[in-house]
Amino acid sequence: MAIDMRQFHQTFFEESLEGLANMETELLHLEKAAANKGQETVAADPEILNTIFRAAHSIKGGSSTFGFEDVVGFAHVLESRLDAMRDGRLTPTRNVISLLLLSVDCLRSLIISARTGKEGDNNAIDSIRKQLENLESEQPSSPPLTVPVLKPPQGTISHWQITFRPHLHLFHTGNDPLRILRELDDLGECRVQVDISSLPGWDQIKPEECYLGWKIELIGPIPRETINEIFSWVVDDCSLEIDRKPMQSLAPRSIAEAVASMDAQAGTLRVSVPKVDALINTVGELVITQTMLSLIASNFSFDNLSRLFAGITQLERNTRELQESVMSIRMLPLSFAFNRLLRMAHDMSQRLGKKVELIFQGEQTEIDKTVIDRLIDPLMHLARNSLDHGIELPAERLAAGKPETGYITLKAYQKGGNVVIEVRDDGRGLSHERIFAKAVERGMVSSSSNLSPEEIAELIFLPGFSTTESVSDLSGRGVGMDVVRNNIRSLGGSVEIATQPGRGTCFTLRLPLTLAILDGLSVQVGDQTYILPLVNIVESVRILPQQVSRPVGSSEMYGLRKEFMPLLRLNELFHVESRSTDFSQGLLVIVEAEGKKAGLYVDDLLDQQQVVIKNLATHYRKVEGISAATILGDGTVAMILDVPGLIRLAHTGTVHATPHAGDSPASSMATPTLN
Amino acid sequence: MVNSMDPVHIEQTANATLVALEATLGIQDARVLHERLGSLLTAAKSVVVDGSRVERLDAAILQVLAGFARSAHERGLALSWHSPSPVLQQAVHVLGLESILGMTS
Repeated sequence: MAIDMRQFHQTFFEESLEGLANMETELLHLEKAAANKGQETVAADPEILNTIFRAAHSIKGGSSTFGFEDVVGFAHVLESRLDAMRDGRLTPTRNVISLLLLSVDCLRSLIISARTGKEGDNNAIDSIRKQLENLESEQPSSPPLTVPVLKPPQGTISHWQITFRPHLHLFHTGNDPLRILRELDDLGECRVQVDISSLPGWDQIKPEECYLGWKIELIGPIPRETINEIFSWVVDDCSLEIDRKPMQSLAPRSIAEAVASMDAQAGTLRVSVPKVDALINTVGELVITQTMLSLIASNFSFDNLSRLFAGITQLERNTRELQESVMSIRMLPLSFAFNRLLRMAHDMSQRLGKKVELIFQGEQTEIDKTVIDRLIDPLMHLARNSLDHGIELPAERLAAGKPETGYITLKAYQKGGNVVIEVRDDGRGLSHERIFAKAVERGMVSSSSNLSPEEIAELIFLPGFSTTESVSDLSGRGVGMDVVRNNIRSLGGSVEIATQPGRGTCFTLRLPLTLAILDGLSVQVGDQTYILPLVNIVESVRILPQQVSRPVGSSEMYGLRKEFMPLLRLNELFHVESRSTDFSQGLLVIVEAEGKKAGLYVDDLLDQQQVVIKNLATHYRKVEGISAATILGDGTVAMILDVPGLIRLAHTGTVHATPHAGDSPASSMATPTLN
Repeated sequence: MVNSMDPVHIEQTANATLVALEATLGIQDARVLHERLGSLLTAAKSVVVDGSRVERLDAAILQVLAGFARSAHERGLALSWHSPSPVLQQAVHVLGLESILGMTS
């Protein structure tokens, strides 16, 4: 009987990528050892060499079992070089180590290609492979490496920002922007902002001329050529800018989506054996308690009452312990995130000619897996910023009386229900004058405003802020700090900054230990209490009935300071009787998610509080607009509202009944008051 | 006589002016559409645009509609939509014109 090998692929990919991560860490250790001694070659610890060799060996074995020939071929060459290094036939010089690090990148790219079925950059991989093959013959005087830059494989998600301004005559060429934007829309997630500022007054409009322009954000596995191709017919008839934004994955998303996408990427969780043992122990105890209780129940007499109570107390303890051990399975040490920074720091310090050492403290602090996964990008960005802007060049450091090597310290510790992570560098610190000048130049603050140093430092979190004089490809494209903050906020956390000129900068991230606890605002609708996640709330306003309009075929809209947003009456949505029939007695809570806003009509705001999220999925069918429930202090159950879901509901307009088919449009029109 | 290729049909009802868009609209219709809608800007109080029949349209048409919506809004003229067809809704969405046209789909 043939076995379907595909069922094992996922495990192979995960194990291989993990093996490669270990290999990378060990190689970086070797490299650091060499650098510390100021030597070109390393007297390598045999154990380190063995670890590296074993990783390559098991990748080769696994890929040959599953028939990933490209991976086998590359891993074979790498394995033979590593074997030579173990035997002492090949000396691990710093050049060799750099080549081995590049080989890790190649193998990773090949494995990702095998997993996604998309081609990687084969030329770069071949070139590294050739260099590996030639390695032995070149010893001992190896020429400097030629380092091809690995292009991201085609499957890599890119975040494109496109500014498309057709010239007036574009329509005359037979081109239709609608076709172009449709094609873009088909490529991936597309956010379009139209610019109608050039559209003249009604009487001046010449309908055959194109006055509109667009700003498009496009996210997806899209190479630049594909976008170029779409615009190829109109390049001469428009002004066009296509820019790639770094850190694509930093777009703020809701927690639910983050969890969903993480689950899609990594369906499995690797758990240490002691944690599983603890779990089995607790379950064992639970079974004993259960046997004891059924024994008492089967021949119950009132004499046994005290034993029954004791048994129930034990049951409670077992349940609590079980809950704790299950929760701990989702917890991973922060070193998972921290280790990812080592390679980045290594590559970047080489390119920038800086000497930098990363120091980890408290990396064994555990935090929810979802939080870790979403934390890697912001941490990467902060460390990259410190390295690029904070840490000075060696000569500059010496001149300032500092040691040549700069230090970036990542320190994690638990404080109450939070995990605190500090990213601290001993570089030049933030220049308040430069930040202030830049903010004035960008029109973010007025030149006359009198800001404290703390307030000035806060400016770097504003969208579009960047003070880099030369835009490097490493950081400083004006996207970043605002997205970092948004990302941390979407996890229910916060970012603070402290800086001392000449002494360094420290970013402090505070994150919830788990996503099982939420900061919420309780609101009253009729006799029910609902919880709104605080992160989604923009403001609350008293409702002005004259600002409410109801376009035909769509749900109610509310106009707030020239901005129109759908209005959702929670009492109607959840079929709850509102406390008052007078519309103006209620309040409107403006919520935002995924860049869209909506107004939620509620009777009253009650209190801000932390609530424990209780999942509903196993007990009830999915109710649109509700994500979970919680138990309030007085024992009543309150539903936690799913703001992204509510906003989707509001924007699709499925909340209110649409006009009956037989109605004429005019008669079914509910007095629109769009003024 | 009304041109059979007229891009819109305008009908006056008791409390609003009903503008029904034709099924197929293109840049060749943009000028007539502009003229016909222009006459409503001064004459009408509230306009309901019926987009249920629209099967094909282009950016030129949507540009006229966007200009109309903006002018209508400036003059305090109430504009609303009656069952915009999926094609129309999708085109409005793709060009990012939802809020200008007051159409949330």
